[in-house]
Amino acid sequence: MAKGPMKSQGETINHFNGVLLRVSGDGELQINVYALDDANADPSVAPVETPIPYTMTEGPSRQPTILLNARQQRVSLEFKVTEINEYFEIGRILLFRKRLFAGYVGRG
Amino acid sequence: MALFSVPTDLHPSAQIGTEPEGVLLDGAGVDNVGTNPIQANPPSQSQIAITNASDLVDAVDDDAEDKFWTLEETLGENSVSTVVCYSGGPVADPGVDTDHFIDILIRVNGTADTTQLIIGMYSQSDEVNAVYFALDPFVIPAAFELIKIPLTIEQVQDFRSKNGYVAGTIFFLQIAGSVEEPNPFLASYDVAYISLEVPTSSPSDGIQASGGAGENPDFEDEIEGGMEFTNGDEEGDILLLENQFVETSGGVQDESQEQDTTTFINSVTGGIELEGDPNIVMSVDPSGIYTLIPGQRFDRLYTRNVAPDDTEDVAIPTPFVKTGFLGE
Repeated sequence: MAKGPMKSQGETINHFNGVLLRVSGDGELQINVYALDDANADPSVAPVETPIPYTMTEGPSRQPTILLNARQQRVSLEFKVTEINEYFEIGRILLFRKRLFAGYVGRG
Repeated sequence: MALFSVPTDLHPSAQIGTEPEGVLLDGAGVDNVGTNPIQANPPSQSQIAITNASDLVDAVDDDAEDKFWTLEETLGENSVSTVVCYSGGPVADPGVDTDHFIDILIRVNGTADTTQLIIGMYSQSDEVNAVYFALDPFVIPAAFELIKIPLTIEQVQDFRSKNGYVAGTIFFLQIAGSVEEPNPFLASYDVAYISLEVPTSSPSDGIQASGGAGENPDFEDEIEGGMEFTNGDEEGDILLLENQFVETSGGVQDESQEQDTTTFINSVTGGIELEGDPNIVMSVDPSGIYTLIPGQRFDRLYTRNVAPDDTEDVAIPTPFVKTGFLGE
C-alpha cells in the first residue's frame, strides 16, 4: 500500500537496546553505534568512536546478542577489525528496539 | 720519482754568522779542522762519497771530521751561543704547500743538557725568519740520523711570500742557553747535511696499484692511460674488488653467493665488454604490484634493493562494514 504524503517515516524515537549477530571470525570485533549525521548515539554512556568489543570465534554455533543503549530516531551500526590477520563474516543482523515517542514536538 | 728537486747540496760559501755575540771564527766557536772555518764548508750530499756505503747516513758516520761541521759552544758572560749560517740555492716553486721538510743529518757528541739547538730558515732576500725551530737536544741521537722537520702550510706560504724559492734559502744553527743553568752544556753537534726538501710539482710516474687481487690468482688486467693493476706476488697492498670479480661467462658475480651467477645482475652497458651471453634476469622485487590471494588477510610489502625474500606483512587498514540508518 502506498504511503500517504502526510505519513512521515523515521521520526519515531526508539530505544535501541541490543543487536543480534550471526558472526564468525577471528579477533576482536569492534562495534560502533552512530546516530544520524554520525553523531554520538548515546552521549550519556559513551562518546562516539568508543567501540563495543566482541571477541569472535570461528564457527561459534550461536548468535550472540550485544547489548546497546541508544535512544535515537535512527542508528547506524559499524563493524570493523583493526589488527593484522583479524577478519569477520556477518550473515545476519537483528536490531532490537522499543518505540518510545512519536517524534520531537514542533521543530524538534 | 724524485724526492728532492733542489737543493740537494749546500751553497759552497757557508759563512759564519755575525750575531749574536759569542761567535768565534776558530776553534771554540764553529770548529771543523781547527783552522779557518770558512774553508771548512759543510759537505754537500754530492761531496760525500757513498761508494762503499748504503746510504748517506752510513757515508758520514765514520768519524771522518772533514765530512761534517762541528758546532761547539762559545762561552759568553751570561750565555752560551754559537751560530752558523749557510745557504742553499734557488729552488723551483713546486706550487703546493704540503710535504715540505727541513732535512738535517745530525748527531750529538757528549752529554746533552737543557741547552737548545735552534734551527732557522729564511729567504735570502728577506732575512726574516720564516721558519724557526728549537730542537730538543735529548732527541738528537749519538749516531748520525736524518731528521725531517715538517713545515706547516703557513710556513711554506710565508716562505713563498718572501721570495724564498727565487732568492735561495739561508739556514742557521744556533746553540743557545744560559751559563747559570745548573748543568753546563757539554755537548757538541755534528751536522753533515741540511737541506730544504720540497715535493715535486708533477709526478712523472703514473698511478700504480699492485698486490693480490682477492682470492682469484688469475685476475690480471691492465687499463691504459696511467693506471695499472697487476697481480703482485705480495698480498695486502691494495685489495681490489673484494669478493667480486669479473667472470668470463658474463655478469658480475658475488663469491659469497656460492657461484650463483643469477644474483645481482642487471645490465652492463658501455665500455666493458664481457665474453659470453649475460644472463637476462627480471627484477625479483615486484613492489607496487598488488597481488590478490584468496584467504590472505594481510598486505605483504616487498622491500627494494635487498634480498628478494625480504618482505614485511602488515595489517590491511581497518576493514569495516557499516549499515544504513535503521529505525522507523
